[in-house]
Amino acid sequence: MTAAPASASSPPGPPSPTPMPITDVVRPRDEPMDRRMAPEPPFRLPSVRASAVLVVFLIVVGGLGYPILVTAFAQYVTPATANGSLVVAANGTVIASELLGQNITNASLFWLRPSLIDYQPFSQAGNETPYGPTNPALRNLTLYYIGQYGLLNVSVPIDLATPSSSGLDPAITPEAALVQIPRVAAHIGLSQPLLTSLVQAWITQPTAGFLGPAYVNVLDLDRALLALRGR
Amino acid sequence: MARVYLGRPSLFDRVLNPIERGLYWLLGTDPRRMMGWREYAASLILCNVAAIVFVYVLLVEQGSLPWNAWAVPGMHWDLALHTSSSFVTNTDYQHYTPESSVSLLGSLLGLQMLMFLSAASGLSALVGLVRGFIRRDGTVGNVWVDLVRTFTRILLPISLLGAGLLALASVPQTWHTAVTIFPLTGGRESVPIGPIASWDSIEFLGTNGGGYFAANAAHPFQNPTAVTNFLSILLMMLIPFATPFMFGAMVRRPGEAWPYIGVILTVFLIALGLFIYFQSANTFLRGIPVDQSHGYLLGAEARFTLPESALFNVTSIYSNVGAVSMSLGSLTPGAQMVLLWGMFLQSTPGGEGTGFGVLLLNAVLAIFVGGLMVGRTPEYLGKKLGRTEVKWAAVTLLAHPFAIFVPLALAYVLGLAMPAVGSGAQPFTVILYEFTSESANNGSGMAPISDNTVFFNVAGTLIMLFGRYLPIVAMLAIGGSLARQAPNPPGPGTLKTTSVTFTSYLTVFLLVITGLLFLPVLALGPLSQFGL
Repeated sequence: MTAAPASASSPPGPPSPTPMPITDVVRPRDEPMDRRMAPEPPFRLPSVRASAVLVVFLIVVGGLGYPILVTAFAQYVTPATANGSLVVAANGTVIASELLGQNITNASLFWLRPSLIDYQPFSQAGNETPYGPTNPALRNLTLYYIGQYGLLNVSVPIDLATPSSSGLDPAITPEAALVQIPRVAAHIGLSQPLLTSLVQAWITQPTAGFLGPAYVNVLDLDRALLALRGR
Repeated sequence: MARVYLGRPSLFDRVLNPIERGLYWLLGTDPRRMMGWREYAASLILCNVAAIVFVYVLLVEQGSLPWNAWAVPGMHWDLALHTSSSFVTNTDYQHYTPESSVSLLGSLLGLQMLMFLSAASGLSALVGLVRGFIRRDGTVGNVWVDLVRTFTRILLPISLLGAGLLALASVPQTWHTAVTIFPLTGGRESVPIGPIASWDSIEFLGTNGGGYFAANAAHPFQNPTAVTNFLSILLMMLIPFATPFMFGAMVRRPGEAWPYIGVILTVFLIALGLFIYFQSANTFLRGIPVDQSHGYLLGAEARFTLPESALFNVTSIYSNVGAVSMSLGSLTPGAQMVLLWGMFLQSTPGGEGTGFGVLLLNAVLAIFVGGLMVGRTPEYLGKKLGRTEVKWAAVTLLAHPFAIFVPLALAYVLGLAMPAVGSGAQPFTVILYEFTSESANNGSGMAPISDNTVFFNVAGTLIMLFGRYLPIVAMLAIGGSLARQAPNPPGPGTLKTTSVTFTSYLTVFLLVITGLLFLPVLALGPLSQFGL
């Protein structure tokens, strides 16, 4: 095959680095090896039909078949978590998801982290903190949260003084649960050592010893506390 | 992976071969016909454009289409353009809140389909480049075969496995789009939910990174536990870290993989260490009685440890996934700089296919420069690196800062940079991050910025398309040029590219070039916030 007819049909297409057909006459100066170079293969216009069929194939298999298959698997093997790890109360109402935090402000319960979306899972507002790391307003916000949690004169675990990324974080550090005990104890009249042992019983340890921190799922803890008080 | 692209026999053959043959017939292509690089690149781009058109129409019209339980209205033209380009270029930058802006139909048939296509396109482009080193007839492969086989033999099986594991590890997977909860403290909440495990799996495996929720992998439904966090990290790392080995296998010199693994690991581990160090405390809060012994948790989730959050985000940004489990705008300046640096490099390990492709282009330049310094003909794996190769590699390298700085300057000159709020250097960092993320096809975003404007949507679309298809065309052009050469036998003067010397040289080359290109903007952004 000669190079000339091949290159005659080459445009349109992406711009060519060597606009000239490679022949024995015109030879790029700094490629002395071009005697041994194979000719540019013939160019055919890309196929619209192939593009369309491939996209349709991906829609059917990747967009539809794949999630249906996974849904069938998950709903059959692990329906509880596949539907959002919902917590159902004795009377049959769905009161929580194990995975999502809720906006608890009742002084007799343990509180979660501050949330910029008040734990509303369908929030139109962006839930990213508007405060950059060196924004003076960040110091004020932190002090504001510390005041709101009533945690003056102690070293405040930072998770209680700062919002999470999702605004739905159900977890706090064990320290953040322990530091709330004086307030909760004062409101419900249970002794501090009793509450301490309750908190300690609800600390989730790292999975397999190394995955995840030790943390407290606040909703679990509060439900245990309510049960303890007979409610 | 190499077996897939070299057409070697595999376990799946019995099932997949007939299906693929039928598909090639439908496509109207002869799988044995090999293409030159121009046809390969043009077909790849045409196919991507077809997908953009389809998804654009789907998103604009979703208001009147079924599977729209939340009654989501159709997207504006500029947002739909940005979104469809974003997902087809493996960027997955989201200028919208997924919960309230995309219907189930739009996410599955539109965006999730694009996540498969973009990953397959990136890998196919890389394979076209690699074939340049092993062929001598000028062809780089058949693009339809590569796309189809990437999908059926790599992406789909691993996605299925990953989605199954994520579902077992309590990621929701349901066809319902809402559950109603009556919270402990009264009231009633509708919680968005959906087929999240399957979405997650291809989001991470395909280095896509577009979230099912706005909070992405910080959202407890997308990433509920440390186990799912770990699985997600594995999925993100899998293909980018396997690609160098695929390269080694394809050029039949497995040792050639190690220099790249060395470069990638060196840069990656340094970045991870620095990120953890910078995030261990925010010194700006000194004087306030907060206990930061678990790290600086603003914008981080308390159900992950600091090293886990750090590993997730550094993996995600450095392999150009762009999923986040922290609020990037709240990170300390040092940590923000680490992430920006990863997107400047975009090759350690970088996104699916294109990341390693860019690394190979850097190696081409490094070998060329090295060859000039010692006065030898630059050649790699028996192929001479001539004018064509070096020209395309250099253009790619320079295109990245070009695509970032020009819109950055425009945004400021035209006074369109207003959407970013904050104090001091923060707005600059936020806008720099936006354009960098789009040019690197990363897709992570830094708040706060109201970027759903015509300017940011259109500029973003152009940046993403440029930042995606220029490197792909360059990779294929180099592959096509190399493929026309007959290989030279290695001589005594041949550069040994498997040595520790070459690995260190390439690492330094990469860091120095990137530093020279990008240090000035870092100085205007996060660097200026140090010591505050």
